[in-house]
Amino acid sequence: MSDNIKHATFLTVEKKFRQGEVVVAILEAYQIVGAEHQNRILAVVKSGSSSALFSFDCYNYPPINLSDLHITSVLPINETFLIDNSTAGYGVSSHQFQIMSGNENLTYYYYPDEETLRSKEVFEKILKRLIQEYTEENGDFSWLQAYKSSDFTEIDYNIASNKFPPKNRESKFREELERRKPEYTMYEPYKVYCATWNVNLNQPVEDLSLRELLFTTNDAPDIYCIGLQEIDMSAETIIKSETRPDYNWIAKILEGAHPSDIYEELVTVRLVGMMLTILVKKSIRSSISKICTSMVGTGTLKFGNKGGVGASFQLNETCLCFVNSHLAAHVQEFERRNEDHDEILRRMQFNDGFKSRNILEHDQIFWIGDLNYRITIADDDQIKMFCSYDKWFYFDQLHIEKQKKRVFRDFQEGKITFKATYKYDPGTDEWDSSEKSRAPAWCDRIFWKGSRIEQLAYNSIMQLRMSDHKPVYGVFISYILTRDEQKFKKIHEEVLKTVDKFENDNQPQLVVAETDLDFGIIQYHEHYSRELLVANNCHLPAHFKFLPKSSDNQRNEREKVCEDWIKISHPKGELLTGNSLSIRIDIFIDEIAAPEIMKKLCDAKTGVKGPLDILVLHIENGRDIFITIFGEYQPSVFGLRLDTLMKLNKPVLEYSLKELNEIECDVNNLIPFYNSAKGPREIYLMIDYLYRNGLNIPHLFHVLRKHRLSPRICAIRDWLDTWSVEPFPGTPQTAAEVLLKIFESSPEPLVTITERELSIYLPNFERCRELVQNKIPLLNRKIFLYLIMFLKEIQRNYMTNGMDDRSIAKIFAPALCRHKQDQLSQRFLLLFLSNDIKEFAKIEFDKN
Amino acid sequence: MANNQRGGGIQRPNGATQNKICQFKLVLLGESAVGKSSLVLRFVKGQFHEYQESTIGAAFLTQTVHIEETAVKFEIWDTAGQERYHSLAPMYYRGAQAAIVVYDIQNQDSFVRAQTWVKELQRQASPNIVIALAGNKADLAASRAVDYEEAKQYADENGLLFMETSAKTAVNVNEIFLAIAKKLPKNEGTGPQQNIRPSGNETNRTSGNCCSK
Repeated sequence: MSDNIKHATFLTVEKKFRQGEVVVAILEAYQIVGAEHQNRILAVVKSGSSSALFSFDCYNYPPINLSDLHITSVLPINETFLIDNSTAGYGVSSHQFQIMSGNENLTYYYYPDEETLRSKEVFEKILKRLIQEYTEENGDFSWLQAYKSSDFTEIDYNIASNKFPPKNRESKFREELERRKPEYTMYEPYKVYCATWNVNLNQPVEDLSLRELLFTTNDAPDIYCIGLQEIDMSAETIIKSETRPDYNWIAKILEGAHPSDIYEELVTVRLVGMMLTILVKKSIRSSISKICTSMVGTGTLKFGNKGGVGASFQLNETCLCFVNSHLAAHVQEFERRNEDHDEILRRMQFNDGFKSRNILEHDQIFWIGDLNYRITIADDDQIKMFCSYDKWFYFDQLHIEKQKKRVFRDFQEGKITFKATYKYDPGTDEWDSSEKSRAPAWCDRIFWKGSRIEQLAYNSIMQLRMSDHKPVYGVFISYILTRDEQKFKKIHEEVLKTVDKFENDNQPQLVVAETDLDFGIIQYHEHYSRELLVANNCHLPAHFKFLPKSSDNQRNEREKVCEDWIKISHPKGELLTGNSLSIRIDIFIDEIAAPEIMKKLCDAKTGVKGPLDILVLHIENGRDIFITIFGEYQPSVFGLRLDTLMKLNKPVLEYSLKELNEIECDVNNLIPFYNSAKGPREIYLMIDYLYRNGLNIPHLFHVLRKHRLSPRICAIRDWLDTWSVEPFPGTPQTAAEVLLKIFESSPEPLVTITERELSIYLPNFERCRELVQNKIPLLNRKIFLYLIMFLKEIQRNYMTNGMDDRSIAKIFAPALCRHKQDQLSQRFLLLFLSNDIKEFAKIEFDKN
Repeated sequence: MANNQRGGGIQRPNGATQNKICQFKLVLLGESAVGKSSLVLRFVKGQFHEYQESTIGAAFLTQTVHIEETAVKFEIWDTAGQERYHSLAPMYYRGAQAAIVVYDIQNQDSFVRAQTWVKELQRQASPNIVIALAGNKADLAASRAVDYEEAKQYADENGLLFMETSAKTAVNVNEIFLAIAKKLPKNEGTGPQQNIRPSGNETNRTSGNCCSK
């Protein structure tokens, strides 16, 4: 940094601070972010007895305006502050030093020129002195708050409260690129050549050359805009509002263009007699985009015998518009001409497929044509004698109307130095000699609107004589906003970085009070609940949802947010800035969940709290937070296989999960059965109790399962799980419910006969008995028959308990068979309830 | 005048620039506390925190680097390293075009873990994924436990990019991302682009085609 620049920088930095805060020293440095070197100005600032190091992002170097500097870090100089050169390595990293304070650790680089080295030495000395000076007594850093908060993204309350959506990356990108446009664009001169001619229905005959009209300059124009009127006014053309370009005229125009360059027709637009053709140099064609045309017919029938045609396109960064119009005729009709003008202005719209714009929404506009305004003066002959416009402009209707701001408001016209262009005897330079003897007028004109346009020439061509009008041309230098591709590339890169930063800084964020939710010991049939507190402390509204996790295995399993036995009160939601929400997570292990959780915990050890599940809390357009559900599942007789229950020789609580799983996996029954031959202890106990206490209870088994959630179930669970010697803690109704639950919670159904098999053999009892014999394993078979015997007993007491065979079948069929549809299984049970099975059961019970 | 040279470079029809933008999903994997988040923080913000909080989830950040005419936008997913979150990793590496597998050069176990991550990626991630191996904490080479040569040889055998990096001193941090950017295919329509999001949902953070002009 030269001393001058350094001094200027120093002054700018000083302006960033308040009174009483003194900038002690500054140092120019840079940081490497991604692949980019970002300028930094480091400043040591003292306020009272405490001091701090500020790091500024420097958008423009050297900084002149306050907005050129943006605080990136504020580091209080306290006991944790350190400037460290020891990490310096090779190459660029040999000019590296680190600054640390508190949790911040920032790496900077310096430019290794002599001056910087000197200032760095001074800078370091000052810092070291300030570090030494620091004591806890003088460490009042409250003044830094002002700067720290100013660095945070300002809260836009409309966005924070979700009234407006936050800006997205794409719009930020466009906004930033637009904001920096002056840095990568400049104005470049283009030559625009306009010409207008009312050809008075003449065809472009072979010997006609437009060179005289279009080739009047030494340099070749970049753009030609040629407007013709009255190329054809036949009734047919008018009625069908002819819009097909007249290629004979276009060919003539191309032929007549400046010979020292190559032109191509960019676009032509025609309406009846009016035609507008734009030619451009081939070399600039690729800089042109968004070409569109428009036409407006005016007058009573809007056929288009009068009106305007226009073309719009973008050249580099500038939007251009060309209009060719033919306004209402006759001396006295100037007000109709004004109306035509207004109507064209109002109705002409250019639509490039994305955006529609009217004439005035262009940077530069050229409006040409036979505008038909006349000279209002009593004596026509006078005009014929003095044909200088200077003399007559007071009487020019167009001049008068424009003065009154009735037409061509804010448009400009060059100085007219040519003779009136109307009306001549065709083939001559003589004024109209017909009977009508029309007064001369400057009908044919060229106007423009927009900044950075200079007119070089404005004239008529007398020697083109075939029409009653003389053509008029105007030559312009038009300064077009153009992109400097080198600069643009650089700024484009910078803008992308800015947008990255914007995107990273504008992520909705949520904080959760804890990421581990411990449910402690989890038992079958108990309700557990935990609250997950989620808060939005960021400046944006946050939408969250719990994401489904992909299953590890490639099977087509449904992607689940969590296990079925976990319920989340708000699977998704929205939190505005400053709000918080308590999300309730519930766990309830029911009959279906019990075997599932047993399987899941296969590998877990008893007594160790393992994660039961992990929830993925996703913040839309932001990060994901993992919430781990911890808990220790205490196995119960519910959820175990029926054969496992028969293999237990001590209370289930005395087994480890691992031991239980070993028994569960013992499908070949290598482990001996310890229990009575008819069925598991638990089933025996329930049935035995019900035999003694329940046969006469009305609705012992209830279709609606009224006792499904009874708290007594938990007491019975403990009684069963501990092999308690206490009296049975339940009632007949709850015992009945538990009996059903034991069947429902076993991993496999008791009756292992499929719906299809039943559909074949029903209603033949003998065949169904064979099915039971062949398809149900012996152990299950015994339990099944034992249960049927018991249910028959219930049924026999129908008069007192009201349980008929149909309601029994209805209740037990789903629990025993677990089919998708219960009709067949109900009929199957009914068959067994209504037939004598004593002999069959006796034979089976004796089997081993 | 109009014939004068107009700026530099090739003039293009307005609205289209020759700067191609390619978007790539990159995921960081590796054992807990090897410095994944620090590498990202250094790369994206140029910062380093001595006591970086443990990542419990997956953080998302974007950063664009430029390789000649192409802007390469990385959409970075920085994942939790703790083993208990292992089963969630596929949500993040699924559809990723690049991965940085990080280990701590002071910790042999983390290098072994890195190798299993590489194997998992080779087996389960997109077949064309560019994988880089980063031996982080290179500033602590004094207590090195993983030999540079050993890691280099492993990387070469498995076709991985390899660098020893230091999020603390910034050594090779930008370099490793740039090396990945260079290696990624930047032709239009290379490879099927999948959703950037872990699972196909309604979020708009998706990249249609790999490159957009």
